[in-house]
Amino acid sequence: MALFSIENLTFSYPGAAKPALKDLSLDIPAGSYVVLCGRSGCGKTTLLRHLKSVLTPHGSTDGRVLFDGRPLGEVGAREQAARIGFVLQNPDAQIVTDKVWHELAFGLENLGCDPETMRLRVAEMASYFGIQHWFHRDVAQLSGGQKQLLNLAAVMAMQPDVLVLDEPTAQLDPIAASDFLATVLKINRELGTTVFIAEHRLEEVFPHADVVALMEEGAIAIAGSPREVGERLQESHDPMVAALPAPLRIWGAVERRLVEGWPGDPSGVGLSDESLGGGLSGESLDAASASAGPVGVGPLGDGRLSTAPLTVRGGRTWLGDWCRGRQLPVRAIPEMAGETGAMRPAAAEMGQSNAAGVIRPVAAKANHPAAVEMKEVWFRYGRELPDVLRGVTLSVPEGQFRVLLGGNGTGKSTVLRVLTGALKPYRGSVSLFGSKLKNWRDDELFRGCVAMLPQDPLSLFVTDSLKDDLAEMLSGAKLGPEQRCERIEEVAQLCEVTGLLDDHPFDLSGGEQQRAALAKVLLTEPRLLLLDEPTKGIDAVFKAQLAELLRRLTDNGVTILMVSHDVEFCARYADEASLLFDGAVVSSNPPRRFFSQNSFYTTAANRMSRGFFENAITDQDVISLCLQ
Amino acid sequence: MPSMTNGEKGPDSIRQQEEWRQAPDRKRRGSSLGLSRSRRWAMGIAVVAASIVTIAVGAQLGGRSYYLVSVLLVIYAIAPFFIAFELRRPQAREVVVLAVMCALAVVSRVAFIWIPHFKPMAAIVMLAAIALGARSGFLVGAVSALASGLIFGLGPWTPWQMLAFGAGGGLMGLLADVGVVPRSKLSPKMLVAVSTGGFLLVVLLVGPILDTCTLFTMMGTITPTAAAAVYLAGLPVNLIHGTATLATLLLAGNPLLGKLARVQMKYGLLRP
Amino acid sequence: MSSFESFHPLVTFFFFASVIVLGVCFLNPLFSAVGLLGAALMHLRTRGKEGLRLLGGMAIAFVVLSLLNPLFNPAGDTVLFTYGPNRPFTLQSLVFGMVTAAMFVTVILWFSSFNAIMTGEKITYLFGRMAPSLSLTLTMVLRLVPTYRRKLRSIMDARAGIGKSGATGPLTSRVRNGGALLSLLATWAFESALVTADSMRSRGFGLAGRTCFAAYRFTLRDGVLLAIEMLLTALCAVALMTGATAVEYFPVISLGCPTVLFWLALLSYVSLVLIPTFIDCWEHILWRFSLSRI
Repeated sequence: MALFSIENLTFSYPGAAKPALKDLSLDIPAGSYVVLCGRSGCGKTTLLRHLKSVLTPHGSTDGRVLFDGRPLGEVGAREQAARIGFVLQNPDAQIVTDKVWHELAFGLENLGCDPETMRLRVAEMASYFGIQHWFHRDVAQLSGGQKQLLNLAAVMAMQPDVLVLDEPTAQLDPIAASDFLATVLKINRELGTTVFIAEHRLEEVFPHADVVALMEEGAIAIAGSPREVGERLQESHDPMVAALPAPLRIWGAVERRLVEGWPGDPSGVGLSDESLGGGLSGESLDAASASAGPVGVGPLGDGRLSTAPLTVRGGRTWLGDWCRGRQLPVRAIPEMAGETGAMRPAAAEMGQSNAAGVIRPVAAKANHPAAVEMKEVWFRYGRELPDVLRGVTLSVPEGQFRVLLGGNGTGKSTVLRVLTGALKPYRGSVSLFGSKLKNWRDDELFRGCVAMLPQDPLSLFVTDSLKDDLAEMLSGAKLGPEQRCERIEEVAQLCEVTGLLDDHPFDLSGGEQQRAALAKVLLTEPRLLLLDEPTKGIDAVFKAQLAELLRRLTDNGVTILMVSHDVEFCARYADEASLLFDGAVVSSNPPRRFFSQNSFYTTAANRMSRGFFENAITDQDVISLCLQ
Repeated sequence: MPSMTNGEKGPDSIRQQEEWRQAPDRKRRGSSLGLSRSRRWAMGIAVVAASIVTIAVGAQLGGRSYYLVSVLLVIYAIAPFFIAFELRRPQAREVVVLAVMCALAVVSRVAFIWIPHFKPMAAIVMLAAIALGARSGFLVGAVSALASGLIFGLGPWTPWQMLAFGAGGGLMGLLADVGVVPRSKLSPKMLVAVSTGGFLLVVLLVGPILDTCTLFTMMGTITPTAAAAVYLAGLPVNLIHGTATLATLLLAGNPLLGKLARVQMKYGLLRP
Repeated sequence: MSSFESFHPLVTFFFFASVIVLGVCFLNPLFSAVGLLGAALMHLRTRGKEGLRLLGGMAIAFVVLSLLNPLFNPAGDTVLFTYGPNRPFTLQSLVFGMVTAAMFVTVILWFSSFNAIMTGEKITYLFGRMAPSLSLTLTMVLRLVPTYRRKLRSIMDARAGIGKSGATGPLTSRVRNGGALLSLLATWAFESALVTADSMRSRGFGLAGRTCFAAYRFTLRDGVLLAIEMLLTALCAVALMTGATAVEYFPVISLGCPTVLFWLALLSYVSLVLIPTFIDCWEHILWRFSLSRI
C-alpha cells in the first residue's frame, strides 16, 4: 500500500500566471526509495512541501494528498510532526539550537517526550549516526557535511515513517555528499524507512532507487525504474540527460546510437556531478549482475539490447563485453603534447568541428611573463597554528584556464586569498604579471588586475537590485553616467543577466546568482579572475552555460584560476589541472594526462574505461573509441 | 511512536495554525503586553509590591544595601516583559525573528570593526522596535544585552544593560505603535528625525542608565557630587555612542526596515 | 578544569549567587577580606595564568576607587590631610572606600569564575523549565551569533577580493562600508531565518506539552553539596540580618563586640567561599588514594 498517494494535485501560487503543479499524481509505496529529479525551477520543492501541512505554501490547491490512506489535512499536527520527517536544502539554517545534543533532542522536546525515553532516543541516534564524538560540541564548529548529518539524525530521532529530503546535498562537497547519501540509503535499507528524495546528484542515487520520477514544468514527465527512466530520457534528448550517471549515458550513446545529440551539443555531455565513491557494495552488486546478465552485444537492429549499467562497475562489465565482441583498431586517445583542453583534441580527431573544438594558440604568449608566479609560498593563519601552505609553487601563463583540485582543507581557498593580497605569506614570493604582489598598489590591483568570485555569490550583493549592485562597482571610477550605463549593459550582456537587472539578487536561481556575481566581478576588468568553486550547487545545464562564459573570457585573454571539487567539469573544460595536497602543488598537467594518471581522483568515464582504453577521460572520449 | 498523551488535537490544531498563518492575532493587538487586562493588573501589583518589600528590607539592612536593592528593582522592571512573553506562548516565527534581531544586534559591532568605539547595537534594537512594536522592541534590547553578556561575560552591569537597551527599544517602538514613525520606508525627513531621536534616546536614556550602574557599583558613598561626577564623566562616551547610533540609523535604517518588510511580504511573516 | 564544575548547574549557580550577594552585603572589613581572597583564589583557579591580567587591573581599580571615596565623602573624625579650600581627607572615609572597592573587585572576580564555569548552555538549561520560550530564544541567539560572525567575515573577505575592503579609506567611507555589510548580513539572516522557522515547525514546535531534555542529572552528591551551601548561606544571612556583623564607620570606626554568632558567621563564610577549593583538594586526595591501590 502506498504511504503517500498524490492524486491529481494542482497548485498555483497567489498571483502566479501558471500553476506550479499541474494535475500531478504519484504513489510512494511504504519502504521504497523514490528519487525526484528535474531541472531547477520545475516545482520539485513545491511538490515536496505539499507532503507536510505546516510546510505547505499558500495558494490555491486542487486534488489531494493521502498519507497512510487518510487525507493529509486530517492527520493531526502531532502525528505529522513525528511520522513525516523533513530535511531541507540548507544545512546551516535548519539547525535551531547551539549544541549538538540539544538539536538531537529538539523534536522530542516538542513532542513532549518523557526524559527517560528522550535520553535513550538521543543516545541511540548519536550512536547510529556516529556522532557521539561531537555530541557536546557547538554546532558552529561543525562542517557542512556534519551539519546536514545532524539534521538527518535530529529528524530520525523522532522515528518517522517517511523521510522527505529536498536536495539535501546541494551545498555539500562531493565527499560529504556521498557520505550523506550513503547514510540515507542505510536508513532505508536497515530500518525500512520510506525515502522520497529530490536530488541532482543522480550518479549516487540512481543505482539504489526503486522509482525515479522526472518532473517537468509542474508535472511528472516520466516515472519508473531507473533504467526505464534513463532509457526514455535518452530517447527524448532531454537536457536532463546531462545529469544521468556517466555509465548510463555512455551506454545509451553507444548501444542505442543516439549519437547525433552528443558531441556537438555543448549543453550535452560530461557535466554531471562527480562521484568518487561509486555505489555501495551490496547495491552495486545488483546493478552489476543485472548488467552482466543478457549482454546482447549485437548492434542495434537485431532488437536485443544489453541492460543499462547504472554504476561504474556495471559500466566496466558492459564495456568489457563490448570490446571483446569486436576488434577496435584504436585503443587510446593521443595525449597531443602542447595542445590543451581535454575534449578538444578528441573532437578534432573525430572530425566533428564545433565551437569548443577550436584549439587556441595558448603557446603564442609564451614570452609574456606568467599571470601568476608563486614560488615556495608558506602561510599559516596564526603564529601557533600549523602551516596551511607548505611551499606552494605555481605558475599560470596568461590566458590559461587553470583549475586547482584537491580535497577539503588542503589550502585551495587560501591560495586564492594569498593572490588577492588578503593573506600575506611569511615565506616565498608571489608575482602577478611579472611584478611582485607587494609592489602593487591596492587601487591598481583591484582595478583591472585581480578579482575574485567567492564561493557564495550572495556574499557580493549589498543592495536590493542587481543594477544598483553593479553600479556600486563603478562608484569610484571616473566615468560619466552614460558610460556607466554602457559598461553595465555590456557586462550584463556578456554574462546573460540583462533581463535580471531589476531583480533582487536573492530572488535569482543558483545559476543566475552565479552569473550575476560574475558580472559584478567583471566590472573591475580583471586580467586574472579567481573562482572559488563556482559549480557548487548548480545544475548541469547552468554549468554548461558557465563553461561557455569562461571560455569567452579566456578567448579575450583573461587568465582564470579556479578552485574546484568538480572533477567532471575540470576534465571537460580546463586547459591545465593542478593537484594541491598537504599545502603544496603535487602535479600540474593538461587534463588528459592529469586525469588518466589518477585512478581514484578522476572522472567516472575514466574509471569506467581504465584498462580498456587509454587516456579516455570524458564520456565523449569513450563513446568515440567505442564507435570508431 | 512517541508518547502522544497530552493534547492530541488532530485537525483542529492544524486549522488553528493555518488561521495563525493567515491572519495576525487580532485579539492581542490592543493590549500593551499581549496579555489580558486582569493579568496585566496582577503583574503590575506584583511588581509594585515586590519593589516596596525590597526597599523596606534594604532600608532595614542599611549600609550599602542599595547596591543590591537597585539591581533587584531593575530586574523587577524587566521581568514583566519576559513573563508576558512566556505566557503568550510565542509561535516559531516570532521566536525566530526575535532571535535573529538579537543576534544581528550583538554581531553588528563586527561590521564596524575598522572604526574604533563604534557601537551600533542600540540602533539595531531601535530598528527592530520600529518594525515590530514596543514590547518586542524591549525584548530585543533586553535579550541582546543578556546574550552579549553570555558571550562576552556577565557582570553586575548585565541587568542594567538589559534595562537600558530594553528601554531604548521600547520607547522607540512606542513611537511606531502610536503611528508617529512609520514601520518602513521612512521619508528622508523622517529618517533624520528618527536618527536624531535615536541619538537623544542614547544620550539621555540608555547612557545615563548605564552610568547609574557605574554609580551604584563603583562609588563607595553616593552623594550629589559623586553622582554629578559619574554622569559628567559618562557624557563623552554617551555622545560617541549616540553618534554611532545616529550614523547607523541613517545608513542602515531604510535598508533594514525594507528587508524586514520584504520578508514579511514574501513569506507572509507576521509582526509578533 | 576544576571538579567543582562537574556538579549540577543548580549547585554551582546557587554557589555563585550566594557568594556574590553576600559579598555585596557584608560591610565588615574582615568579611570583605575573606570574600576578596576567596574570589581571587577561585578566579586564579579557573582562569590560570591569564587570570593574572585581570587581577592586576583590579588591583589598580581597588586603589583608585579607595582613594576616590574620601574625595566625595568628607565624613569621619581622623583627618589625614586637607586639600582645596579646607576639605578634609579622612581615615574613616578611606577605610570605607577600601571596603566598597573590595566589594566591587570581589564581585568582578566572582563573575569571572562564574563566566568560566556557568556556560550559556548551563544557564539556558537552568531557566529552560521556568522560561522555556525565553530560554529557547537565548539558545538560538547563542547559536546565531557565531554563524553571523563567520558570515560577516566571509562577506568581508569576498568584498576584499574585489577591492572593497573597509579597512582603509576615510572615516565616512569606512562607516558606509559597515552599513553595507550590515545590510547584506540582514538580508541573508532573514532568508535563513525562514528556513529555521520551517525546520522548527516541521519538528513540531508549538505543540502543547513541550518537555525539556535533561542534560544534567541531579545526584546525591549534588544534593549534599547544595544542602551544605544553603546551610552556610543561611548562617551568614542570619548574622547579617541581626546586625551581628555590623560596623560603624563614622565618625569613628567601631567593630563592636564579636558575638558567638559573629564567629559562626565568619566560619561559615570562610567555608562557603572555599567550597570549590575543598572539593578540588578532596578529589585530588581521593585520586591519589585510588591510584595507590591499583
